Amino acid sequence: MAEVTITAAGFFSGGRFGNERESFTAPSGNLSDVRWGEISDAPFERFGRLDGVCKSAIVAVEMLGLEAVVEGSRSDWGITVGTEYGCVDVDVAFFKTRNQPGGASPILFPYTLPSTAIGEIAIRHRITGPNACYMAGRESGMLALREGARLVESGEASACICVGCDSIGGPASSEPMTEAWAFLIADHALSERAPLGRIVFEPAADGRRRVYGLREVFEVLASDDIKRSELTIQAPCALRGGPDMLIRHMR
Amino acid sequence: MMAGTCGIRPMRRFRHGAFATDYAAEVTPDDEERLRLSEDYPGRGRAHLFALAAGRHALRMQGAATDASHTGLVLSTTKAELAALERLADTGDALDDMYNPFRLARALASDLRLGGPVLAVSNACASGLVAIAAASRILARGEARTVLVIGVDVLGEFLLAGFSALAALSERPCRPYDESRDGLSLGEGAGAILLTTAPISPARALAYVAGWSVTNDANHITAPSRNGDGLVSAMRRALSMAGLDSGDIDCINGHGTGTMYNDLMEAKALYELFGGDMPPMMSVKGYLAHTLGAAGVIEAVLSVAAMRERAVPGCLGLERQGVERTLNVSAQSRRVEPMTHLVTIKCGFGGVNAAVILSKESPANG
Repeated sequence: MAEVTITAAGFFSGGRFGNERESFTAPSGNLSDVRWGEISDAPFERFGRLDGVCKSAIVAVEMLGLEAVVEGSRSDWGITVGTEYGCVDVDVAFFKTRNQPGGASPILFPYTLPSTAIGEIAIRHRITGPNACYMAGRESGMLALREGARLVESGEASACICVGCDSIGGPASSEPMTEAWAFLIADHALSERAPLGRIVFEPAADGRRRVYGLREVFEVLASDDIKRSELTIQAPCALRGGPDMLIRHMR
Repeated sequence: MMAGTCGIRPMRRFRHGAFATDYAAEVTPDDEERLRLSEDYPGRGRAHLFALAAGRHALRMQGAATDASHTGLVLSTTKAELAALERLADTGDALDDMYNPFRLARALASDLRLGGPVLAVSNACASGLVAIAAASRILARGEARTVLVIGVDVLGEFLLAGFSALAALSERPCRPYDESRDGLSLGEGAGAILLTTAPISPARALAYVAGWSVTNDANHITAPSRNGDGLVSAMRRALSMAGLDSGDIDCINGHGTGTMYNDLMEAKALYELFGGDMPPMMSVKGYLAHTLGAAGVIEAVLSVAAMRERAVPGCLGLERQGVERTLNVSAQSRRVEPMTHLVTIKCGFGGVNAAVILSKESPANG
C-alpha cells in the first residue's frame, strides 16, 4: 500500500506561530499583531498587504522550514488549500469600497478569491505543480491534506504543501478566528531531520481515535505521547466511500 | 453560436454608466423568469437556480442510468450566490449563507437528491477544469462511480466593480485574439457535466476525460506569466496522462479572454507546444463572455458538442489576429475532421493554469 511521509508541519493560531506543539498551547494576540520580521529573516515586502487567509497560510507554510528541505526542483510540487469560510471578510471589505472616490479597491479585489493563498505560496516558494482550493465545511483542511496525499500517491505531484486556513471576524462569523495548519508531504522524507509521520490509506478499524481537524493532526505529530501514535482520520464527508486516512506517528 | 449570435449586449440589470462597460452576457430577467417557472424551485437565488437547471438537465440526459444516491457533486464557482454576499456586506445579514460555495454545493446536492461526496472548488477562472480534475480523481480512486460537476457564477455589482477597478473590461463586446482587443466581457450562467465510471454503452458516452493537469506560474497574482511556461506544462502533463502527444490533438478550446496579456501568453504557450502545426482552435468568449468559475464547465460542454458536430464556431469579434504567434483561429465556423481528441485550457488569478483532454475514444481502448 502506498504511503506518504510527513516531513514538516507548521501553524499559525491565536496569534502564535511555530512548528512545535508547545508554541500554541496558550494562544494570544491576533493576526494584525504579527510582523513579518518576527517570522523570518527572509524579506517579504507584501506581507502587510495580504488578507487574513493569505497571511495565516503564508505564516504556517513559512513554519515548515522549507530552507532545510533538500534542494531541488519544485516544479512538480503541489499545493492544496482547504478553507471553510474562504475570504468572506475581504469580500465584505472590498464591496464596501465600491462607492469610494476613485472606485472600488483594485488592491483588495484579487484577495476576494480563496485560491489567491495558493498563488502567494507558489510565488514565495517557487512551486509550480498541481494546485487546488477546496471548500468542504469544517473538514476543508482535512480534505486538503487527503487530496494532497492523493496527488503524491498518484504521482501527479512529487511533494505537496497542504494547508487548512481560515480567517474570519466580520459579520459572517459569531466569533473571530484566524488559524492555518500546513503540512509538507512526499513519498519520502525531504530533509535530514526525522520525518514526523506517515499517511496511509486503510479501511476503518475499531478502537482507533478519529479526528476531524488539522489542529489535532498537528498535535499528535508534535507529541511524544506514544499512546497517541496513531490517528484514524475518517474520510472527510466530501469523500466518503474510500478508505480512511491513517496518520502514523514516527518518533 | 454556429449562427454567429452574440450574447454580449447592453446590461439590463445594472445602471448605465455605472461601470467601465455597459456590456455583458447577462441572463435577462425574462429568461430568468422562464427558467424559474420551468424549474419549479421557488425562493432560490440566481446562482442556485442556474446551477440547478444545468444539473437537472445533465442528470436527465442519463436518466435511469444514474444512481443518484451514490452520485457525488463537485461545484465550481468563484463567488457562488453573489447577491447574498452583497447583502451581507451592505446590511450584515448573514442568514442566507449561499455565498459560501460549499453551502451552495450542499443545497444543490439536496435539491438534486444526490447522496455521494460533495465539495466545492474555487480556483479563480480555472475552477471549472480544476473541478473536472477533482471529480476525475474521485472516480479514479473508486470513491464514487458517478460525479456531477456543476460550474456557476452570476453577475453582480461586486464583480463589475472589481473588474472595472482592475481596468480589465472592454467597453465593447470582447474580441479574443484580435489586434484591437482591449479587455474581457463578463458573463453569467451555469454548465454541468456528468462523469461516470459505470459501464454505459459507447453510444451514450458523449466523451471521455482522458487526462488533466493543473499548474501554477508562481509569477504574479493577477497577471499571466509572459512566457506561458505554466500553461505549456499543464498541457504537456495532461497529454502525458492521456498517453497522447501534441500531434494527436485535433482541436483546442482556448481560454481567449480578449485581454491583451492573456491572449499573448496563451498564443506563446500554444506555439511552444504545437509549433507551426497548430490544430483548429475555438474561443467562445465572444459569444458568452467570461463566466469565471463556470467557464471551464460551460466550455467543456461546448467542447463536447463541437466534437460531436465535428465543427467549431467562428471566433466572434476576431477581424485580424493580434497575437505574437499565429493561431489556427478563424472568424468563420469550420468543419474539423477528424475530431477525436480536444484540449481545453483555462488560466486564472493566482497564476493557475489547467488543461483537460477530452476524447471520443475510451482511454481504455486507446
